[in-house]
Amino acid sequence: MATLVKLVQPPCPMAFTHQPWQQQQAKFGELQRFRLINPMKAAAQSSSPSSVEVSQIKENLYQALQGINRGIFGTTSGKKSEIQELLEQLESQNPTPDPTLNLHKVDGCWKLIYSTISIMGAKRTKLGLRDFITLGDLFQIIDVAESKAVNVMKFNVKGLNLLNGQLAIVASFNIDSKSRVTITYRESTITPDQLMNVFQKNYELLLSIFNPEGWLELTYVDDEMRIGRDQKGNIFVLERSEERTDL
Amino acid sequence: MASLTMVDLVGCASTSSNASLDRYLWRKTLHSSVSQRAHGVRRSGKLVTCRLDSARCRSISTKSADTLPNGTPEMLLNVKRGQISLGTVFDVVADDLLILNQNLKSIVGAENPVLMSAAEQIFGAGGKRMRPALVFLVSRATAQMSGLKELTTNHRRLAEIIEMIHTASLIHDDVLDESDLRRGKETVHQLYGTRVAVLAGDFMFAQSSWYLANLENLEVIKLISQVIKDFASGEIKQASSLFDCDVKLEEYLIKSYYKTASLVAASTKGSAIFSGVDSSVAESMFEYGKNLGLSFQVVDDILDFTQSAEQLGKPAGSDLAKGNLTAPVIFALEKEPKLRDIIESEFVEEGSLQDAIDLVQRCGGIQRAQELAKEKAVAAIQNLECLPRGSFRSALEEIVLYNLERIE
Repeated sequence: MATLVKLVQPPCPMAFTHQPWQQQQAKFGELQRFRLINPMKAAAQSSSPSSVEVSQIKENLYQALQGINRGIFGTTSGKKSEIQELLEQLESQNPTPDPTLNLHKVDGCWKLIYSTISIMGAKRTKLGLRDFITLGDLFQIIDVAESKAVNVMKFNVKGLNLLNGQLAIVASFNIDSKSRVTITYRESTITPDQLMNVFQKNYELLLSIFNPEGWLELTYVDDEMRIGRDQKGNIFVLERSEERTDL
Repeated sequence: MASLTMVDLVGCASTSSNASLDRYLWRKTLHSSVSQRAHGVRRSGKLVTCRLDSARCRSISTKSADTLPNGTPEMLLNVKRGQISLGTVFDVVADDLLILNQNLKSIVGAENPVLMSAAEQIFGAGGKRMRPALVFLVSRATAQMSGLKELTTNHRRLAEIIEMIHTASLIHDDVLDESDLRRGKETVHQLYGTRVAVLAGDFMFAQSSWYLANLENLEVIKLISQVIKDFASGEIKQASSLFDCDVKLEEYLIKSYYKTASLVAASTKGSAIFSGVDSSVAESMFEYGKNLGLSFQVVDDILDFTQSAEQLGKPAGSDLAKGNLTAPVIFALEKEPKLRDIIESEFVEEGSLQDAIDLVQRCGGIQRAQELAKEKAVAAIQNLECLPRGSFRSALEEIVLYNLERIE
């Protein structure tokens, strides 16, 4: 079962220095922009001197991500470098250097906002992702209790009665180090059947693109955003999501 | 800028058609009018020798020139400018084409004023009427063999059907490609909207099916129906292999057959069938149409690379930009792996499309495509050997050469 996002975070480890209340109030105002603001957490975070910087970097990042459809269908090398740099800046300010010791921070539902994986050229044509099928949102639901991660790829087929469906890949994960996990593929399903028919011929190709198998380094984790780098050299940037994905 | 090319067509395997071609071209030189830039009535020739045995082939051509009253071998080799004009090639069937034009307008326009304007737009100026001309030329050439005195109504109807199918496919193609201009004029869907364009195309496909059925010749009905099926197959084949760098030349030729050569081959074979000639002759006519059609498509694909935007009426390299990998690209991919990466990136980087075009030219992709076009042209001319010599057969040969001229 998908775990819903918990709006109220449990008390976090006191990794931050304390600051006068007035200063905390001012910084809290700035963080209002983001949806899932937990006043307690915001106060704790705003006590870090770099949190203003972080929110600025995030703003720049969202700006850079405008209009590129998560980078999956082709971005110029200039844009890629720009985003790469912003991500590295964020990673240098990572408030959670030991995420696997604080798995509650990664537990729940996340939505992909950028990745270096690309579906282009012949691959894109073969999967019908040019005119026929649209790739919708990509979610990752992490269930810490069961050491399970489910990747959900939404698809939308024009014509065919605007068929909506998804590919769900279930994987289990093991902790390797304080920031790294190893992911093992378990199973995958396409629902509904009509969508399965559409992808029948190219199922292997589809899986090869979205298969999460291998290790994953969690290079940045905070309440709203998570960055991961995998074994194949790919980068994934996700934001916390409230959406229910029915599996 | 085009020159009359004396294509040393058949290599050394069959010198007879080579010699006849030379003699024919010399006759044309003496009789036809040429563009102002040529000297007197002499047309220039540039020997393009075959790869097999160039010295021997050249001497054979020279020999046949010697037997002609007014020429020297030097004239063949001097590059003076002249031009095959399709107008003169089609002279022998000019009346047939006039009647065709009138009939077409009345068939299409009769139903509806909007359709009439659309018909004017598309049938008006610009179309070369190459396919109907082929029908008439093959009809007349084969009629001579079977003792037919005059073209039958079936022949004429066949030509009209062919041109309607061709035009319908162009109208729909323009909708699919979202093109604004065709032959320098606005496309039907640009002027009247997509709905009218789709309906006009459907109407013409439907009308041609009805006329086809009324010809009551099962072989021809199957032949032409196959073409409409092939059009769709060709488009689907193309759409499903966009940006696929593993595409083989064979697949490209099949796709080109479906999209272009199928209709031409059906036109030429159908004409032969209605002339009542031997099935072996009809088969040769099918092969002629097929090879001519393929040669034509390859030339079109080369021009997409070599012509400027003004000449093409659309940006250069638009096939490549869409991911439609044609002969020059397929050949270039064999030589240059870097090209593969650029194509796979779908040209997202600025200037990468131009880089790809330059790469294709540098790797000799254009040259090898030109050789392919010539190879098919040679085969087409060979297919004409069963026809009696005369102005009709000569015109059919000239159409092949006209096509090659476009890339000289």
